[in-house]
Amino acid sequence: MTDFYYAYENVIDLCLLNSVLALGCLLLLSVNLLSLATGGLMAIGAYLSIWLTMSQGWPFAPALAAATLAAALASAGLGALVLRLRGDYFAMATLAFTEVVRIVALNWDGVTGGALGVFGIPKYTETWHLAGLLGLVLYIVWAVRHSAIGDRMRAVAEDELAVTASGHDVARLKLAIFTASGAVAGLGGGLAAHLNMFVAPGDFGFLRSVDAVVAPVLGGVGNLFGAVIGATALTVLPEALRFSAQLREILVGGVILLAVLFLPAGLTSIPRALARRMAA
Amino acid sequence: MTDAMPTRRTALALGAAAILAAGPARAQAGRVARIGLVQSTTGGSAALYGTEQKQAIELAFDEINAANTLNGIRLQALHADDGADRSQTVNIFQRLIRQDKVVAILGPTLSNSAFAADPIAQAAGIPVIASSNTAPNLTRIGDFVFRTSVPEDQVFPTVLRYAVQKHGVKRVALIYGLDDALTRGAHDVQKKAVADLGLEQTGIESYQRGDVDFSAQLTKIKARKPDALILGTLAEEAASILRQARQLGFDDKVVFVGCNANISAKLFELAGPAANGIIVGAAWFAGYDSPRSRAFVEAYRKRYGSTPDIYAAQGYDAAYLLAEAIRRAGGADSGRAIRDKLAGITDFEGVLGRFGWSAERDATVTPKVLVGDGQARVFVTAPGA
Repeated sequence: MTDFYYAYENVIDLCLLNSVLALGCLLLLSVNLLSLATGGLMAIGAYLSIWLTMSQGWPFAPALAAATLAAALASAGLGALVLRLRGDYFAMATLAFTEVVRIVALNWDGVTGGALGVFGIPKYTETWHLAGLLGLVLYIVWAVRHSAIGDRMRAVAEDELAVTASGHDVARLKLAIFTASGAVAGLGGGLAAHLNMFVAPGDFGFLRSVDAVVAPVLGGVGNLFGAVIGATALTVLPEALRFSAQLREILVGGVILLAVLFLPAGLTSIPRALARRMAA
Repeated sequence: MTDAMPTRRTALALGAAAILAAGPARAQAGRVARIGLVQSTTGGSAALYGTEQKQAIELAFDEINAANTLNGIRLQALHADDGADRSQTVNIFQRLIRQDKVVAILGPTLSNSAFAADPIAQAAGIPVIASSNTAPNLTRIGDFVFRTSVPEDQVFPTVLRYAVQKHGVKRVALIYGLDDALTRGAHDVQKKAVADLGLEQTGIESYQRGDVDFSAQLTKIKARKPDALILGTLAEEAASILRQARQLGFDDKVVFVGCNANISAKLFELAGPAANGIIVGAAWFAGYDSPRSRAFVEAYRKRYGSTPDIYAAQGYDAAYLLAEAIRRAGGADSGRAIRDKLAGITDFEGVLGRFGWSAERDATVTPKVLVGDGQARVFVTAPGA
């Protein structure tokens, strides 16, 4: 077991980190919000935390707290502007935010090193940090889903107009969820930046944002562990398929396509689908 | 996964065994040095460089094993593709070092990946030789990190000095890609070289990756009447800039000075005759006239049916340098011993010419100044360089 951990430490770390980010997106998906702001919010957390630890001599924990707070604030500000948009327009606006952050990072050489990135970042992020955070976020999402807020979220997902008509402030609920998701992304960004000793603006772009949304969809939005399973699958798949050399990218895409086509409720619906088949 | 071509390898192993059996039994047979070969073979343009290096290194290993240069130690390449994705490079380094117990690593393809993954090798005491990383400060990661890829700052000042002496360049303009680590790094070096030579800088223009129309930037540059335009660009963009500059009626006397990334067959494919006269500098080019280089180009062409590029040449030299270090260390048991012997190599005759290491473990090779020949579609040695 320790040998396995030793050889695959970074793979495990990435599974945990991507699961946390996927859970942030799962919260939003459960009120029908498809956000591509994850990359931009991560970048804010990442760059702020490395600036604090490397230039200002802050310890890791307060730097992470600052990263979380800054991303939550940015998220609240962004949310106030774009949450009134719907569907495609909301996704596009959040993508625009991620692009703006990336371009600022490319040009703000003093803090971000521009396109060359920042290297020599101290490695503070440990596997247990990520595991602990994942446990915490899982618990929070579970608790929210089993509370009155969770009921309201499900109601919003079903019929937003009806919830508004019955006197609930849907806009405030969405803003709160968007801010919480932003805080998770910012914390994830801070942890990601201190994991591999190097960051560059390209790390926090479109692809990162899409991966975070695809993971819960692949795993299954209805299940709490769907996001974790989806993120783990997306992280492990390229490693497991490395033997296939040139075919690898096609195989990864193919597996995801098959899963979406034949398992619309995600990977977590496999046991139920099997049970139904057995019964029939 | 590790043996892409089992039949060829089996044949070579049998060949090596035959040589061993026939010769006097001075060598201990059966010792294997496992070498990690981390080159991107998927993942966009990095796959081009990665594949060239992988092929050249495998060629070198097979030659070394067949000739039994290492007295019975066989080099075994464990290739892993990182898909040009930095997280995967880290995953691979951890697995190669901690599970597969490699004694050295050749790679990775991209500088950004190296910044994340090389510290793992450094901490584990495993030497790494890169053959396509050109980012500044890379070897500051630690004393186990080497590179045979000659960074821009060792080449460009020579090229610019040539342009000044040959064409009397005094006023220069610069254009570069803002969002690419390679072009951005080249630009920083170029700007410094311009300042060091005391040239007058008349303007700096930039663009983003994917741009195809440079007429706005070129019109501005043209109005400032520079003697030379310095390109911190990739080959495709350099080709567009060269063509559009001709269309906009740039003076024929304006000299175009390119960077390492412009040395590509693609430049001539896309720019045609407009690439005539572009000056670049390189550690190596396929027409380089030395016995070692000619033999390499021939062997590579014979095996893969294409002409090797500079990354292939640098990878090939990296493989031979590593083999030489293993030979001098008398075995492949300790990464530390291999590193120390590697650092001590000062007189290596490689494909790139005479090799040595700088204090920072960068390759020191005399740069060659080249000029584009738009008709013959090749770079040739610059006259009087």
